[in-house]
Amino acid sequence: MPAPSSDARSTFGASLREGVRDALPIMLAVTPFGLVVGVAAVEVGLPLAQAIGMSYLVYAGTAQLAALQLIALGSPVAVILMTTLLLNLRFALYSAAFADPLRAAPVGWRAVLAFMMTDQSMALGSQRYGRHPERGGKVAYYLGVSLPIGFVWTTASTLGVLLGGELPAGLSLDFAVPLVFLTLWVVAMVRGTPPVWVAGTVAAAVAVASRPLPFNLGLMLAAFAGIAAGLWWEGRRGPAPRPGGGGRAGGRRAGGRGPTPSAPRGRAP
Amino acid sequence: MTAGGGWGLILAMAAITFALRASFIVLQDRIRLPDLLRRGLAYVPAAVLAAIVAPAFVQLGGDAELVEQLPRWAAGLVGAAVAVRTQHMVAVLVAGMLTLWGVQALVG
Repeated sequence: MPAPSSDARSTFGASLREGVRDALPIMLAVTPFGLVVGVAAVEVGLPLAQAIGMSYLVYAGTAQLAALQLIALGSPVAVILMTTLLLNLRFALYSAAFADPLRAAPVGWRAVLAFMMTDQSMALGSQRYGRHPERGGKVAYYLGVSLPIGFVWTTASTLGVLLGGELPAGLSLDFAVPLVFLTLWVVAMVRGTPPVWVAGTVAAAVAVASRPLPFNLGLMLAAFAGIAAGLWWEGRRGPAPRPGGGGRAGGRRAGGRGPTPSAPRGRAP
Repeated sequence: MTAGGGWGLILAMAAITFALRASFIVLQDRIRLPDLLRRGLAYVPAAVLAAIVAPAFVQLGGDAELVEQLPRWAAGLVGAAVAVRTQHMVAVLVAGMLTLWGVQALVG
């Protein structure tokens, strides 16, 4: 960060604390997902360093969990990387919405800020920027939200890796993984618009029907079918709310549904 | 080529994820998403999550017997109901796992 004047410094500190305060309830909810991802990495058979390193380097719980499931199925590398791309495409949209609020940071710092981006920093950040577009400390607020979430999540997943082998086998704890995805899906649907419901429903149906396809290709087929169905429904029914709130200044979520907090509580990075 | 983990895979995943996160924040005005793609991104979470979730709970034409699938179905239904009501991951995990264990004990 550039050295701020004393006035700017107090704004920076206050906004940082404001962000940390807003992130507190999320920190608790993120913990079990971090644990689940850590445990899953060990159960799939990743070596200790890779299981831990993945959470720090990729830092995207949903994509990591999906990749771990695919690794367990023996999927090809290309399918895993495509799945990573698909699951994390939403970050590009968040990136578009946050380009303007984070413009104040030098380009190197922007890369660091981008690395820390999560669904929660997006949700809380866009809420604050939308409510008080004129207020300063946008970068500080983003940092205040992102740092504690990152700390808790990486710590929880590391703990999950270390505890992984100790957890009793007969409890079907691996079932927690689909339950986590179920929550994320339900939240996306409940907070969604009609085209989102169509996308989610079509994708679910296609995924069940195409399950016998090799290499888990059904997942990609289902995802693209769902996205296409959502776009089709949107075109049929007239314009839906603009995703991303009309670009950089909007900062609303994908599928922009007003001022409600848009990340599920307990969503991972 | 199948994966089975490895640093190469992890680093590639990290690179893809970082590129997506950094795209607009770092490059600012130098790139612009086509409109259709931009609109399509809105449906990615619901579609991709559905594609992952549905086969984990519903397995048509599998060789597993109905009784074997019952705990998963029950847990899925209870979990979905709790998710709709609370949107809280901890609540869904607790309700889903308790249902799974309960039904397993009943049918087993």
